[in-house]
Amino acid sequence: MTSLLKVDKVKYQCSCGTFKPLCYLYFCRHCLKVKCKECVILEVDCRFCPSCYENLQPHEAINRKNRCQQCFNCPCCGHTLVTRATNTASLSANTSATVTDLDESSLSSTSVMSGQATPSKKVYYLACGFCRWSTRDINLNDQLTINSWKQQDNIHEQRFQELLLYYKQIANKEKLEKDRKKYTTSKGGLLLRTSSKTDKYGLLTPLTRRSIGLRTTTPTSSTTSLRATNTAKPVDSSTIQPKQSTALETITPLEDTFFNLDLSKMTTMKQRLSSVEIQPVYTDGLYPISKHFTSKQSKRCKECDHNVLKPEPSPKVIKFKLHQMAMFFIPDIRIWYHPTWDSNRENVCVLSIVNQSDEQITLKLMTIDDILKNGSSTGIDEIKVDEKLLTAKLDFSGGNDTNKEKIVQLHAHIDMNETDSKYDNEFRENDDKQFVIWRKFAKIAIKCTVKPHNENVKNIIAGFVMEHRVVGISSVQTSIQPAQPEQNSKIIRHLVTIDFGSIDEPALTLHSSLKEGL
Amino acid sequence: MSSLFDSLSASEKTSIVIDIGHAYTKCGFAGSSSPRHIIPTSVLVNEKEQHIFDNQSDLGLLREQLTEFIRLIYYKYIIANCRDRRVVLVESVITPTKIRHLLTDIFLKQFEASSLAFVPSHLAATFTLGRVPLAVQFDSLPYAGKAIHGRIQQLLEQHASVTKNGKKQLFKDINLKLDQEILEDIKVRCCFVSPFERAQIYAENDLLSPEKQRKNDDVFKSAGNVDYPVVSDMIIHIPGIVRELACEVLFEQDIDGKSIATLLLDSLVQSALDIRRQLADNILIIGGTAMMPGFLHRLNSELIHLANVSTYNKKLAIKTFHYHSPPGQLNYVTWLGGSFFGALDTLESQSIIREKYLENGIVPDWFTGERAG
Repeated sequence: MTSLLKVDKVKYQCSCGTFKPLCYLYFCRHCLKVKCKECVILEVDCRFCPSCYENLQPHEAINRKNRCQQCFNCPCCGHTLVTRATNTASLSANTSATVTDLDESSLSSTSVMSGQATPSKKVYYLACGFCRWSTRDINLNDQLTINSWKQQDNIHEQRFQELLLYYKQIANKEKLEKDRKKYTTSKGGLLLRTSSKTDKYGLLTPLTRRSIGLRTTTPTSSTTSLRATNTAKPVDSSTIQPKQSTALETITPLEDTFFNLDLSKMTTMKQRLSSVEIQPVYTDGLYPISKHFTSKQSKRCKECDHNVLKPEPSPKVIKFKLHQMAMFFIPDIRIWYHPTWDSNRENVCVLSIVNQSDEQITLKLMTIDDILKNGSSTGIDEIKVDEKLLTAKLDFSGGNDTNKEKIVQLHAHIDMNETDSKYDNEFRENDDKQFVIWRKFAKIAIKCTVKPHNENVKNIIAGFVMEHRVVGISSVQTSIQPAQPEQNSKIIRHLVTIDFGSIDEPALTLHSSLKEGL
Repeated sequence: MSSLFDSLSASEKTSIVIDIGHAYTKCGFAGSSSPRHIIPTSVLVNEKEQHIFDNQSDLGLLREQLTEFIRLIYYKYIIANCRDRRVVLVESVITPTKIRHLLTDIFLKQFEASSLAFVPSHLAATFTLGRVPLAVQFDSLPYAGKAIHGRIQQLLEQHASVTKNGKKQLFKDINLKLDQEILEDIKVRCCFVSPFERAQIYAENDLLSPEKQRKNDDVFKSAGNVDYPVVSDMIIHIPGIVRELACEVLFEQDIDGKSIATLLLDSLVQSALDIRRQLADNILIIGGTAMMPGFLHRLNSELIHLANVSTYNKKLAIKTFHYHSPPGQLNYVTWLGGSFFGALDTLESQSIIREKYLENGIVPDWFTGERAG
């Protein structure tokens, strides 16, 4: 089990053709196919603050720009800021002095003590427990209520809205003109012009409605814009002209402070970009940053639009409503043992197979050669094998057995305590002792041989095909016809590639229970 | 007023605007006055940060990394569902076509955006000015930052010394290669663009040699030195001259006699005679490099100087230049333009519609209403 954490040793083929480790794959129970993250589409389920777990409705969260109003990050190091309380009496004594780190720590300790003695008015400020930055460093006044820090305003906001309004009008006009072209080219053009005063047939409703919409956005020009829609020529004055951008009068020369600067007063790029609108150059300009939300996402199969993964919508619950990781449906294969490699002969390796699903599974293992020779049987999705990927040949029979297809049965994944050794005996009798060399509950060890294609092979990658039956959920309601469970079960095949690593790698230590089998 | 607009623009289907730059990517929603995030254009590959555009030759790899990056933008940074959402991409006009096709494919097929519009970054930036009839655009080139980084390394090797484990050594002796990140940090925190007069003195006297520099210190006040800690036990002593001269690379003329200032003047010379005056009065300088302290001032003096020099004296009668200041920080001005564009009703007619693309797979060069629709 050396590969316990090296999940990318054994890869499964996704339905889109790429190879991914099993733990990164999903399984769609409607299409009965393996899906990787490229084959699913994400959907934000809930947005929440990672610090206080406040859960917000989507529109509300977007309104708040996906930021929490109560929690703040340190603008200096990005750590979460802690609210500190102190009372006004000690504050007035201390604010006159410059606040250094030393002062601050003594302040907080005294404030706790004096707070108990005289219950005076409390004030709050924010401090970083990691880099010792606090809101007092930038001379922000302490707040009377907890976390009532205001967001910094974007000074360009008004100008932006002014321009946006202007462009919206132009766009509206463009649209109107395009629409009018459509009308006049059609036969109704004459009708439109004559019946403009009394819109008898409701033909003009889209037009008038749009002009009303225009009127609401431009209250000063309502009459002109209405006329513009009815007469042939649009009137230029119907739009508000925003103040044109004027060229700079003076260009500020370089400040002298740059010649002798204090490095500790300059902000880094990361600090600047964390407040996009302000981008402070000096550390005085840093301001507490509202915590950004994180989200939980559900994943949907692109093919059939059913969920493959759906978390509980509450941020505090880590359970899933629907959790179709491929791990729970497809047996997990790992490298258990490989010898010191010899490129000229067949190397005996041991693989372990674990059944993670709740049901008993019958596995059929096939070599790549079988698949290429026999082709696919009916009803099973074809597997395309790209032989360039593989640098070694994996065989299950050790080359002397003609019966190449290997069938093994695996118990359902259950708790160890509920089982005893007798439980395995039934299956053990059917096992090919040369093949299945060890068995315990839902886990077996199988013997196989790996032979590199030629002597130049540096990295040994072998593959095989695994076939088993899965039971899916039918999209049609099953309650009506409970007698047809076979309909939505299907035999599926997986192409599995195993990366044994470099040919120079030393042999893995053999587990004591495997020794008799080899 | 602004809150009203926010709530209007905050619906689930607001189009998103992304400006994927070489170094930094700006992302946010259309109709808002600043991007939500500015993030480095990089993804984690095997737990190491890797710039996406460092390796452009391998399209498969580029695709993988871009997809990962865009997924991050959608779900980590702006937290929005990608399905059936309009996308506005602000792109530089010199973006290679293959990258453009790649992005179209990723957005429309992988992320199922309902439509995708490309906005040229220079055009987008003029959106922020209101109705200036004409404007010269000048984007500080994507490689300007890289050039400065290179120059810092080079200058450091010549001038700086390092204190490592308490021992003082010359920078070039320990053969230190600094990361791009550290170089960027040095650029951002220490370097500045020195005024024209000072640069002239430097150029004339060749103050680069330390002896002369010392001699000159009496008459010429050089910039202060900065001790820059790299790792816990190593400090680079950056002399003032490095801080001052690093950005000179932008204004030095190369073997073709080109610098930022000459490029600007050349474009003026090539434009029609009657609009030159207007162009020179409406110059807009954008990009992160233009945010270096003293940049605009230097550029202006450089332009005035060059306009009076023989090469341009006869060709160009213009001797003064005027600049605009856009409503936002210089490094996201192009994004702002995209934000305007994305908030308009006409967006649909100017973009590639998903169904059309899936049908014919054509990515047009320009988006006129007819062709795109």
